[in-house]
Amino acid sequence: MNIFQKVQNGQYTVIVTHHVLNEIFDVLKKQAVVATKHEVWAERQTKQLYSQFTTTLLSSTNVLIKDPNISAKNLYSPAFSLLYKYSKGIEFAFSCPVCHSTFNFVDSDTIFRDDAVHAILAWALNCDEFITFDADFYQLSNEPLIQPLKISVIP
Amino acid sequence: MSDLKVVEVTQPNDVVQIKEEKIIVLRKKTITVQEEYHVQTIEEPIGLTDNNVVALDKPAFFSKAKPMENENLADSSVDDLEERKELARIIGLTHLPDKRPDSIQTISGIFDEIAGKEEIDTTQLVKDLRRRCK
Repeated sequence: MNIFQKVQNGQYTVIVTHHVLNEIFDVLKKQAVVATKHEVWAERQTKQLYSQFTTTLLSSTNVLIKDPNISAKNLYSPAFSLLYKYSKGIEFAFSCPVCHSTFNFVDSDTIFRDDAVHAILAWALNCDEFITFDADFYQLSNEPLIQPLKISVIP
Repeated sequence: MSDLKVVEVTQPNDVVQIKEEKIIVLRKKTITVQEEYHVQTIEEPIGLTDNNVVALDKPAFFSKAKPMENENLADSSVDDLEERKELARIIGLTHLPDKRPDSIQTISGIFDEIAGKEEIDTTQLVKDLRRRCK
């Protein structure tokens, strides 16, 4: 049973923060300009797809749009603690991520600021589980700062 | 000899006065006034060592906001109506859509149109976006 079926059956209640909604919009924006290579078309496509996605979300059962009631200090300060602690990680690639030509590409490979904010928001919302496709979050599995939040990475 | 006797030797800054056949010596004294300060102890996270990052204790101010502590978000009565209405308003809906149990299943693939001919690793795409430091 996939994650969406579990939500439909009520095994999970999904909490969507505005941080998630904002990130999805950013992803769509980037993909739209790559796909259309046109400023106006890209904006139109972004908003059209985002509207479809949001309407689907709003019509879904067992989905809550919620943000925790915490101060910016209680969000960004512990997020910085996580960033500072998990700052090690590197990835090598042999082709450029933009033009795909052969290239020795090196980049940092660990959690970044938005990842840390996601984790703190989930913790502050009293979530039981943080479900993601991003394997970088494995590092936070035993992180005391966000206990007892469970980190689950879907392969 | 008179009955005079030396009582005290004057110091350089003394002021000597003679009044009604009495010798009066005025001497300045320096008095230090100590103010009382109230010292408040604040617990701070453990500092970092050279190579290893010490597990940081939760800062004193790091706690969940009280309204969320007792809120069971799995409870169907938790209300996100205002958030939904605001989101619907932003995307241009005139009313909230009706809820359907199978709606969540349609999320998968909703962005296929924008994916184009290439298969996109959305996880990598999101990671690339998160790394943009401007």
